[in-house]
Amino acid sequence: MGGSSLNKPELIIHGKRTDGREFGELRKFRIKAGIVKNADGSAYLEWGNNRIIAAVYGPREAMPKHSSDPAKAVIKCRYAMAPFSSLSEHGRSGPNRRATEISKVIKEVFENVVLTQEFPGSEIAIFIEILQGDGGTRAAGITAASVALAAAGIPMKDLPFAVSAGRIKDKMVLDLNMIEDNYSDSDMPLAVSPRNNEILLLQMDGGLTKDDLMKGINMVVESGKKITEAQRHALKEMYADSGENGV
Amino acid sequence: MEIVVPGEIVSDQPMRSQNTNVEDGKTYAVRIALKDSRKGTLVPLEGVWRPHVGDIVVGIVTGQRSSVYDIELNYFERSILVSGKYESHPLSPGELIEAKVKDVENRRTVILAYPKSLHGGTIVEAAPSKVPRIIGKEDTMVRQISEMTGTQIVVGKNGIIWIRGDERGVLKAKMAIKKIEDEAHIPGLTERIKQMLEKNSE
Repeated sequence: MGGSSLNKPELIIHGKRTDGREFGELRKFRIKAGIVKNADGSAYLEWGNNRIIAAVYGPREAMPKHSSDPAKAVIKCRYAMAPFSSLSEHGRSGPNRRATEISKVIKEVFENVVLTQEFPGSEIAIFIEILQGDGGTRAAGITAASVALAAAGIPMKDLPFAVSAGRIKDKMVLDLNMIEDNYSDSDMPLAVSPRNNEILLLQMDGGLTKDDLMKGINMVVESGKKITEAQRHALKEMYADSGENGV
Repeated sequence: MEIVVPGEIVSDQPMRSQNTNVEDGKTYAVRIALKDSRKGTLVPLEGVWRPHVGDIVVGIVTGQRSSVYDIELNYFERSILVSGKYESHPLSPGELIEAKVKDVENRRTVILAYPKSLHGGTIVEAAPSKVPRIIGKEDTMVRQISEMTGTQIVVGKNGIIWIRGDERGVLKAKMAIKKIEDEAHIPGLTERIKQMLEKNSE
């Protein structure tokens, strides 16, 4: 950002955050799988005020042909914010510097969990569309995309999730929203593979001490139990409503 | 029967089974699947077709080069049929055929053999993961649909299904296939399909 301003909003008031959450509390979230009928797999995620749709196509023929890899499937990822998704900055749709970077890091998260060697020569395309953004969209995008991939029947070692942790003055907090993201002292999105707590993505804005870093990682890993539960539930729910008495 | 998702523990013991991954002595599911606890197998609920030698498929001839026909199977790799060896008459682009997978070259190109032309009829597409249920144990399901609707049916493992018969029969067969796709994971399917077809024939 550059420059320095002491004119920051107060982010912690009476020991609570601006939206009333505790330091280690996630925003409310809800996942629904299988909402885009044309896609092989899809998911809709509401995470606080974030609204995200993720859709997956594939494994399908890699296009253009030269992008294919004879040894494994290639993963393509497109993260995009809808032009109406947030107040400013994202008014123009289409890839920009930020979206290109996020697409790349999300692709790398999934390259580590999808069993790409099972589909040599093919491509798996992940689309993440932010309909409404309120901070932490890359993390929420990963959480949604992993449900969409599983719903497409793509073999993967695990269902990754992502949440951010950050520092407000001397306090470590979990799952920063837009205003906290903008004015906090540090912000760190993390993607984790819950079966062995392997870290798949770690980015950081600002600075953290080693102690704070470990505290942040522990907060994220701890919160993951709830997220993993919700992801699994969303996938199983796809098969729950049809049947028995229906049709 | 229980649904498992990627990353979920299937067994605390290392287990060699399809659609699983063994790590640190534990077995994890790698796909969304139905777990059959008696047999200890995972039956995938979603996903694309993986070609195996001996699979019967339905495809469309899309072109002919010097010595091979290109066949469209809804698969992300090339599928070919060597010409002049098996077919009784030269195939022309646009023709619908039923064929058997003879080989999968380098795990990629699908080589077909023993083509049979399919004349008339219509095709429907089904999710390849549901095809085993549409066929049923030793063809029971597809035979039941075929007999009760008076249609001829060829179910390709690749998810393309060819149906020929009178209009009413074809429509009923399509409805039955749709129902199987939607309810493949719920036990007692054969009986429900039978009831549905009986009800419709009144």
